[in-house]
Amino acid sequence: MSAVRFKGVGKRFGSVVALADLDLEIEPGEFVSLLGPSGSGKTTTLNLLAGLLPIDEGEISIGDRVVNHVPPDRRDIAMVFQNYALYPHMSVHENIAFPLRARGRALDDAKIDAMVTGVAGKLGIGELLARYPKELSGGQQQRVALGRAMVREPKVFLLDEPLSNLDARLRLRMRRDLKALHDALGATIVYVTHDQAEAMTLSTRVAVFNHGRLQQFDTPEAIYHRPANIFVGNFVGEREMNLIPGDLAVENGASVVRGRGMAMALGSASPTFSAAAGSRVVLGVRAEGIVPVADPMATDVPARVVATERAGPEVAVFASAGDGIELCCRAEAHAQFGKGQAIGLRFVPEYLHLFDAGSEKSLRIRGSTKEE
Amino acid sequence: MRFRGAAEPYTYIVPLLALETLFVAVPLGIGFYYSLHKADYFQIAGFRGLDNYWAVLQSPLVHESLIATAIFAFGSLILTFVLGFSLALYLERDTRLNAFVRAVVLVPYVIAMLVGSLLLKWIFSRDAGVMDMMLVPLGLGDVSILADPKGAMAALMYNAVWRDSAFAMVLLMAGLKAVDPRLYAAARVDGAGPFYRFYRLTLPLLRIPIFITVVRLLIHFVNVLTFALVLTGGGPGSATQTMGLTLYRIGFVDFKLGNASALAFLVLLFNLALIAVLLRLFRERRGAT
Amino acid sequence: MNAAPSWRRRALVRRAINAAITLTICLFALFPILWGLSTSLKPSGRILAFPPELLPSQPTLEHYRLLVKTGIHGPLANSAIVSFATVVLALVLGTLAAYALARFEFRGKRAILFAVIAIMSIPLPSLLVPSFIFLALLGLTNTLTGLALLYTTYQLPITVWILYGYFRTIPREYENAAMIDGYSRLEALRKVVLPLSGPGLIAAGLFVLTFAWNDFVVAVAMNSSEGARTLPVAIYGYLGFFGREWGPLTAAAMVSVVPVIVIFALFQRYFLSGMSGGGVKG
Repeated sequence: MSAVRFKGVGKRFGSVVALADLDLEIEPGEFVSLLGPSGSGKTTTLNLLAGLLPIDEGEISIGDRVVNHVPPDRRDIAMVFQNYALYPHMSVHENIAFPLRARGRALDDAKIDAMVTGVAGKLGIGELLARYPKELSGGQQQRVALGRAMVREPKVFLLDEPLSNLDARLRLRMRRDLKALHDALGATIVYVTHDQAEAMTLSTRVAVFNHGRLQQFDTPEAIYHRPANIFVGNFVGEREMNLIPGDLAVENGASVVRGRGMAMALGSASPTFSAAAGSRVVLGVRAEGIVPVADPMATDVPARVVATERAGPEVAVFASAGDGIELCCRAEAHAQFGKGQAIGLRFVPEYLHLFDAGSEKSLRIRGSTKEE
Repeated sequence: MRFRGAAEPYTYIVPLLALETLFVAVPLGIGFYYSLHKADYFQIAGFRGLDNYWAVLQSPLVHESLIATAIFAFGSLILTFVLGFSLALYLERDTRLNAFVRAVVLVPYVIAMLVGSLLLKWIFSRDAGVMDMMLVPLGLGDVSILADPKGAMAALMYNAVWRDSAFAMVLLMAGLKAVDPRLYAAARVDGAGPFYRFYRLTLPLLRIPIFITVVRLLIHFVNVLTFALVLTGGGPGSATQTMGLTLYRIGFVDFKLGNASALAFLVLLFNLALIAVLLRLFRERRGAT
Repeated sequence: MNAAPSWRRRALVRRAINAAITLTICLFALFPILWGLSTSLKPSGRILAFPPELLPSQPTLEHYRLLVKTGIHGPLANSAIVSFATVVLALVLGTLAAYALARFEFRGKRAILFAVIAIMSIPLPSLLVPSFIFLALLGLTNTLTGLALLYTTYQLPITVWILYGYFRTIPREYENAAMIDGYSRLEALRKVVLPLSGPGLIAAGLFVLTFAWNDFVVAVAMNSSEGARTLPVAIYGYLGFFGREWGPLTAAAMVSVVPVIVIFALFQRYFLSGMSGGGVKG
């Protein structure tokens, strides 16, 4: 039995389709990120799951219950909002206790107190119980919001971009805390974010959305190394993918993509893709899949350095190749490439992706790639 | 241009200050001076010290007026506030229909008070027949609302509520809009029903706008004169002789300017006390946001 | 699956109730005005008929003609003149003061801001007697000038308040750029800031206009002579003059009310921003 299930779920706002035909199953204990740019439908999906919006088509189940017409407070979920939505006129203690009192459950004050202090202890905010939200730092407020969610021991936690209000360093630290919390609680978490690095670090599985449609639902590793279409390949990863349109040719039993004035051999990656010779394709390769070498004659693809960028321990080299297309490649830290220098580009077969030029879908044969 | 530096802002402010000082502060000073003298029809005829004040405080007319004003002010305050708050809650969302209804509710407020009272006077009078049409089925026909002391007070309060609910609505709606809607979403997910949300979220968060609205309404109702002057003339008898009307009577009908000035000063003191409360509230709001 | 139909029924019932409530609210607010309009168009004989009819079956303009004959155009013109003058004066002085408050820091600024709020809250009736005495001493009673000066005085605080709030939202960079280009501050204000302040000026202007057009208490105290009357004072006079002739009375009411409603309908948005600007949101 899955923890959360979407079956054919759709949602429209007037004439705008916010979400179309969503099928998604989340297992208990998973940390699933809903990833995508703004307007992609990820927040809509979360709000539908929470019951804050009514669905137009389809069915949502939590546990073994269909919850389409069940109001938010009866769905056994808890939600943490982007700006935490802490009640400003209540103390931290009252904030965390609010869900326990709101339902008119006959819980006595002692029991409520115990639950609140217990949760506060787990989150390390025990000393802050008497303070008010505006006296707390961003990270502390975040934990109070989490506490308010945790105190109800719900089936599913919904988090709506909870880290986007924090500064970069704090965000990284909170990410680790969230992951630790997930491991400790074993709870099912549905997490909305537009930050792909965040999704990749935190999740057991990632659901990528675009234009109201689910693009791919897979482990972070699969999403990164086997993107289902150009959008996913581009969206995930530090930089955008290099995309080279061309035609697929088969020469001497090996596949070659000819486009933009270059000929790139797929080499050992050929059997992993299924495409007819002569079809229009797009070759996708991340920066780490193109290695610049000093000798232009050593590879099939000569190029000229346009710019270099130091990014932490690595160097990104931007080179102009073929008919002028600019490609981004990754070089070792100690490599020295000067502007204007003539170099060669070596395409690493294991990092190549092939997409159909029309549908933008991946041409990879399923199950054909060895696990990294 | 640099040398104008320090003095520059003051040159911009001077006209404002001059006008306000001239036409607010100076009259207040003159009024106070008159309040200490015997003055009928502008003739100052002798210093009376605080005699005018005593006369006013002991005048039976003023006493009756205080009672009428108290009934009117507090009655209207409660009704106007409740209706205004209800409208603000009901029409809060920004739909086109709501925007239209808000505008309709504001029409009684934007027209002249005089005209509003005149139109209501017409409706309440027996001649129009409208009231009879409505009351006969209830078995209350054959009454002249404005001729009956209780009826007249009720009509006066109706006038106040009809016009000023819109004012309360606008002030309270601005307060409602300032509340982060996600707090309500969070409360819904936390299991709070609509009444619980109102009681524990809306009311506490709207504390200051509510106080500001109440104080401003109170100041308005205690002082207003047009409603009573047009609708009931203060009658029957002096059942609806509110303070504003009394002030007008003594000053502009009887022309006892000395007494009128004394009464005006006393009323002003009361108003200033309320205004001081208002300023405190404004400052608190600034601090909170 | 069984839950769906009753849930849909409940939604329909809710919508019906909402429609009923909305209709009641609109009737409650507009009925007196509509009834007055209807009465003003009924011939004298039919006004007192019982049961009263809602829509005039024989509409007539006789009451309006009567008003013109008894000289309503005098007060009408007076009201228009005073309103216009007040708007101009209030906007000019108010813009200067609001601009200074929005852009400069100077001693006494906070005091002035507080004073503005305080004066805004002083109810007019309590100022009537002293202001009357003062105007009489200046010889300005029964003049349009005196009235315009008083109106401006009473409306400047809220004008300043609205414009102050508005100017603060305009980035300083605009005037700074103009001044670097050689304009004086006043010219920068006129050429750069004011064009950008349309909505604020309209909101403040509408407020002042409505007040000046509608005011009764100040006008009746200061200007009761026939030549200097404004429209509301004239209407009050009609109450005595026409006694219980509700035809001309309601017609006079309409003369005052219709321009206001038309302007309000056209400029609603600005009214609302002005009203709460004077009260709650800073």
